[in-house]
Amino acid sequence: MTAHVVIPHHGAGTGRLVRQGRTVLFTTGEGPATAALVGWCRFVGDRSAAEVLADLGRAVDTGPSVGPFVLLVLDDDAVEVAVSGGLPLAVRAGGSVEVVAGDGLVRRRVAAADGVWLVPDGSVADPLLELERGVVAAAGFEVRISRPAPAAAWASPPAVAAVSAPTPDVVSLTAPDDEDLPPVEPLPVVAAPAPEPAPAPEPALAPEPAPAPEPAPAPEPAAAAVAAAVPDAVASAVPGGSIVEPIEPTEDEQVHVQGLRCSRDHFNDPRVRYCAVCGIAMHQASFILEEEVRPPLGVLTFSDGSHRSLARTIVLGRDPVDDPAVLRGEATAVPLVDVTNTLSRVHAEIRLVGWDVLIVDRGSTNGTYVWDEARRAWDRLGVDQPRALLPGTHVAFGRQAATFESPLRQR
Amino acid sequence: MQDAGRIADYELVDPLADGGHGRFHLAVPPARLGLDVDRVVVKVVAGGDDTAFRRFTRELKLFARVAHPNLVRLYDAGQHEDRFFYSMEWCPGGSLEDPAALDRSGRIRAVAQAARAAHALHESGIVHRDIRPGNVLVRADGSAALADLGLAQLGSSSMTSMAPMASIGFVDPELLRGGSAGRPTDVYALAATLHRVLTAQDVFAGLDPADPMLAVRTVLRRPPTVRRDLLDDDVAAIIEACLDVAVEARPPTAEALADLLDGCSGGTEP
Repeated sequence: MTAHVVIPHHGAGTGRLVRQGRTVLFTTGEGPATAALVGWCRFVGDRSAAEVLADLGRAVDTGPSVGPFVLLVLDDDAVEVAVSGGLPLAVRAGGSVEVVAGDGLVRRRVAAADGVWLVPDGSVADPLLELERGVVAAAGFEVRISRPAPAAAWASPPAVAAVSAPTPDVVSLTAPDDEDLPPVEPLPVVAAPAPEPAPAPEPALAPEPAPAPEPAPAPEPAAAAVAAAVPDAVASAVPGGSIVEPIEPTEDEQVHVQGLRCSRDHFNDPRVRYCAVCGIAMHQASFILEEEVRPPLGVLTFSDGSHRSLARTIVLGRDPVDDPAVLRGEATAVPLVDVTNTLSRVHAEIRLVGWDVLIVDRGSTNGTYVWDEARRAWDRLGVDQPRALLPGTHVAFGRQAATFESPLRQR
Repeated sequence: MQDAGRIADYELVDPLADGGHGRFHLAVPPARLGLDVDRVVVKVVAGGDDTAFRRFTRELKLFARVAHPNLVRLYDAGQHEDRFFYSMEWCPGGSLEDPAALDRSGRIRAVAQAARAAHALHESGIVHRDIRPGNVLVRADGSAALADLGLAQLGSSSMTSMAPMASIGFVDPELLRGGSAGRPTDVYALAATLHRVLTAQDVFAGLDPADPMLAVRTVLRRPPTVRRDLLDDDVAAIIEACLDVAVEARPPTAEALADLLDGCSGGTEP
């Protein structure tokens, strides 16, 4: 199955990007004829390439009143292209890039295309948006195409219009502009035991060597000109709110659970026989259940050594930030790099319930698995059927393996 | 990604090493930097989208703003074609990964200086998170420069980071259990680094980098071991305190650790 990912770009231009199934339309036109074209595209939906293209110039007006547009039909083995109004659309197939543009309506069928893009100078990809269906405002767009057989390595698109000499887009680190940096705030010092007061965290340095009179002007003059001055472009083109900052669990998101204290006052799962922190036998404990903030229940370690602490429910996948549980604030999104090409956008969930850690497949394409040591085989989980994880259990998201470890409960 | 001879206006002279998701090159700095040195180090990493670039430069700016004499000096950062890069001072003495050139007190002094640099980061709200021998660089004059914040991030963020495998032996196990990074976890890493530099042994012996899952498991299940047989008592006691599970037993700040170490190195800072 060929996968097509359609990504809008932000920038100065005002255009609209429409996707309905395999049909993608980008237009910078205005007026009723453009509206008709957009409406038609949304209506034709998933019809075959031949049917969609047959409509052009017949059922829909493609004349000058429509304004410039690009129409793509994304087939499994080729991309059908229709360009009008001289938009410089680039199509890459087998390593060579062709720019499809010209007077009037230009049509092309590009077999085995692995990338299509229309990227005006200064426009930047919006990685948070992947257009699956509908209409968005966009200055440009790109389509990333991956085919199963000869795995097409995706490299970011070369700039289409300006093939200017590589100018260094640099950010000075010696005279940092502080506008997007947070104020300096020392880390808290752990209070030392009574007798010896912790040395006051007196600032080791003068608070801030106020950066010289004025941050040096951008190193090279091209910065403001056409050549995509990336740092500036980033700062200005992406208006404040559209970058997702890491979600920080706040105090009120802490979960309270009931547990027992060992004789040395460590808080434990009431079912354990030995304290998870110091190892002392729990029969010394008072057996009075107390309610406390739940400690992290373990850590998920991936085969590349990266690890993720499990302090609250997490949703894993290629791009799980839009998951409803994440949006409701009930879970933290943990995007994974899809090295094995087997992850779904929302793939699985590690759900924390009381002292238990559950793994749940969230309807992933390639499945979520738990290693069954007795059978020496992977068990594929049913969708939305939680399975409890014990320390040392191997799991797999598609083909991406991980191990659950926990100091809290021994097997 | 091969080693083209240039990136932006830097002339790449020699590849140095791979490290932390990227590759280091020795390079000739462009005149616009106005440096009085003829070599800098340029780290080249895989590029990403513009959000990634913004995050990349932001972390570097935060680090550069601290400007402590024992932090590696950063010059500028940028992107070239599909790669990100940044330039920093070149420390010809290598790193504490291979401390052969330093005697015992030189090694202790180097770690103490790294601790002062870490303290400066802490005072600015930054946790380094990746202190290990390979990240303590040695300048031509023998002084130390703490490098590459790697995973450093604002202390205010409670996101758990993904640590590269190479440093698992220097990560406070408390962090693997889900604790948050802060002064105590960097103090732990400094002590684990000192242990390795003085004894050539890790506090968790025999971690297999090829099996990260097993390594994490080992670190979670066993306490670290301080090789008292290979260390002087005073240094061993300091390291043990820094590795203590109870953070209250550790020196409260990296600066306090540096002061303790200066008392052992038989000399003051050069």
